[in-house]
Amino acid sequence: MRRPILGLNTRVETSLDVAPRQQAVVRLEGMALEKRLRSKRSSAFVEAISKLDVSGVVATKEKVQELIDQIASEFPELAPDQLPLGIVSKCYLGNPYEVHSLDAGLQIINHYKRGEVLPNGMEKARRLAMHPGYEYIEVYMNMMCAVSGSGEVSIIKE
Amino acid sequence: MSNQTISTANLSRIENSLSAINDNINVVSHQVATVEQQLEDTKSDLELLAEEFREYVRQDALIKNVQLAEMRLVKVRQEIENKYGHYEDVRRRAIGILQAVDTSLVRKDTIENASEEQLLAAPRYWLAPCLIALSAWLSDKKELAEKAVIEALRRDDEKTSLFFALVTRRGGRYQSSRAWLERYFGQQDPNELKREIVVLIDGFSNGIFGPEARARCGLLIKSWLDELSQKAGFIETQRDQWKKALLSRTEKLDSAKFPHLQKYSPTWPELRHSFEGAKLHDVIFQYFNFILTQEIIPSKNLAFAVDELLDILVREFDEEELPLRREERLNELIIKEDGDKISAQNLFANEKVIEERLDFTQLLTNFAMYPTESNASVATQKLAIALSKEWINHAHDDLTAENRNSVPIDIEIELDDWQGISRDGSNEEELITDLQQHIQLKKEDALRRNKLGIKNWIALVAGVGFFILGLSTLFLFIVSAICFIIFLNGLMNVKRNVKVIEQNYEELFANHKQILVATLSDIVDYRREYANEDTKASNIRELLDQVTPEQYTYSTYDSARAVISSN
Repeated sequence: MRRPILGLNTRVETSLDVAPRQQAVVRLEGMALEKRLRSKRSSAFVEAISKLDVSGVVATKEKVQELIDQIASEFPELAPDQLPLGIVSKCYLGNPYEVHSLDAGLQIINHYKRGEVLPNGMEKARRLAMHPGYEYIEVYMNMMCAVSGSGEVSIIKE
Repeated sequence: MSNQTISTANLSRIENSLSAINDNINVVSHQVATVEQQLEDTKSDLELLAEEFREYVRQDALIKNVQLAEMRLVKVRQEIENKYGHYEDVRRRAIGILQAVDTSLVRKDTIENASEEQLLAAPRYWLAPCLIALSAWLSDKKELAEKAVIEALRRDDEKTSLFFALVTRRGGRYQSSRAWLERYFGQQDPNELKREIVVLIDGFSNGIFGPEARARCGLLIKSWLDELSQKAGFIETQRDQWKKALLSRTEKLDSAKFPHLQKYSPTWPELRHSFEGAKLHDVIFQYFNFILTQEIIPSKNLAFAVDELLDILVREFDEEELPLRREERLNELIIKEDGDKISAQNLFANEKVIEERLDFTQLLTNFAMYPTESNASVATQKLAIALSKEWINHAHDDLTAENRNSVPIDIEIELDDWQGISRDGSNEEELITDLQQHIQLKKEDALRRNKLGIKNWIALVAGVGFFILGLSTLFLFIVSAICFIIFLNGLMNVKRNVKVIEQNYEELFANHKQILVATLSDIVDYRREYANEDTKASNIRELLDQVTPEQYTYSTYDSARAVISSN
């Protein structure tokens, strides 16, 4: 009696699937998110943000959009709702202006005089923004990142 | 109706009586005013007294806490002495035997007998069989030595391994020393280290082990740090640990600083907190700088260095003593905090110095920040700072940002019911004008309120009424005169008060202006001094950036080793 030879009729199915696959993005939460936010900012990014008011009191829509895109590209791992609400830094337009902010939601750059309250929860960053030790302040929902000229980050939680 | 004639004498007597009544009324009114004033004074004195009394009670409680802590400290130390005092003999003999062998002044059988007595006296103590093993080793009694070593290992494997690693290193037996060290390393988990690991780290940082063992130690430390770093949230835990450790160095602000701000600014608590936080930069810098620039004076030779370590190993780390040691530490902190129990409890909770088992990085924090309590040598402190510098920098950066964020932008000033705001003390003119207007309004209000009372007007109306009626009746005519006098007296009082009010408010303004100027001057000083302290924040990073762990691992005794190994 002939014995069947094992595995003789095994066929390897090969299918080439060329459909574009959605890349899985792991949402950073808690300590992992904080660790990411603490990492040093790129010098190009710090330089771009420090020139917020170079264009004077009124910034063009394109300029603002460019800056907002830059923020998104600085944090590619973050979901849109995890990006900063805005950025606040010291205003160099001189008296009576004190600070200016880039409001990511409203997509505008605004300059604020002394006593004028910053909207959308960005008022809390005014004090640190005016400190010469920091280039600018990133404002998040429940914390702030104070970024120095060298890109080092200090975190202030609420 | 009968005609009545009133003699001139009668009238003048009535007039005299009226003027006497008037004088008496004046006197009474003055007395009432004086009593009112005295009542006000008494009230404010009473408030002051109550405040002083409360402060006295607080101070008294603090003093009592200190006295109680001092008494307890003595009691705890006595208890440690009574309960574990007989271990002291064993400890002394351990070092004694080694030194006796060095000098060959004691007979071996004397050492043997002494060791056996110690074993009987301390039935649970790990060091007693170590002594037997040591003396058997010296007398070349292999079997007894092995038995004793097995018993010592049974009682406390880790300490025994470390003890013999050091003893064999002292005697130049490198292979045995390495074997004992390996045995010790094998039992260590970086998440749960016992406090005596400081002996190993000290041996490493002071260059007591040979080059091979030193390289092994270096690799071990690195692997521990790597292993711990893999843990989720490890970096954050380190930062928080260091934040607490750095904050524990905060010094209270001298109460004589900025006296007017203290007294007249509701913002003072925040200002004080920020200033103490800013001063912390220099405190931390000086502390680290002192450690890092301290010269390490090596022991005369390896034997001395090992003896010092053995001394620490046998003296400081007996778990049985831990509860008493904790109590001792808490009472030390209560005394340090001048009787403030809550503050001492917080410090004690953050220190974690006297824990049974700690992770390696917490131990590094303890070596750097609480060297006395953790028995760390200067070399170990330096090494701990070098290994932890990244976490120290992160923790300090966050503390700095938090401190800068806590500095009030506007400083309030309160003088009675006047309030003003200044940022940097530069708006003096504006504030003085505002204060002047405020006091002017108060003065006008007081002047408005300084008018004839209802009784004066009634007296005037009654006076006029009775005068008309008094044309026919003498008695009513007299009553009318009294009413007129009451009215005129009121009028004179009002006029007199105008002067008093004006003078009072003038003095009030002059006084308040003086206080305001002094407070603004305090604000200027505060901002300047704060900025000055704040700039010192960067010094810490500059200091720590130059530090590397390699700098702080010495090879002090390698030359000695070369001499010994040539035999």
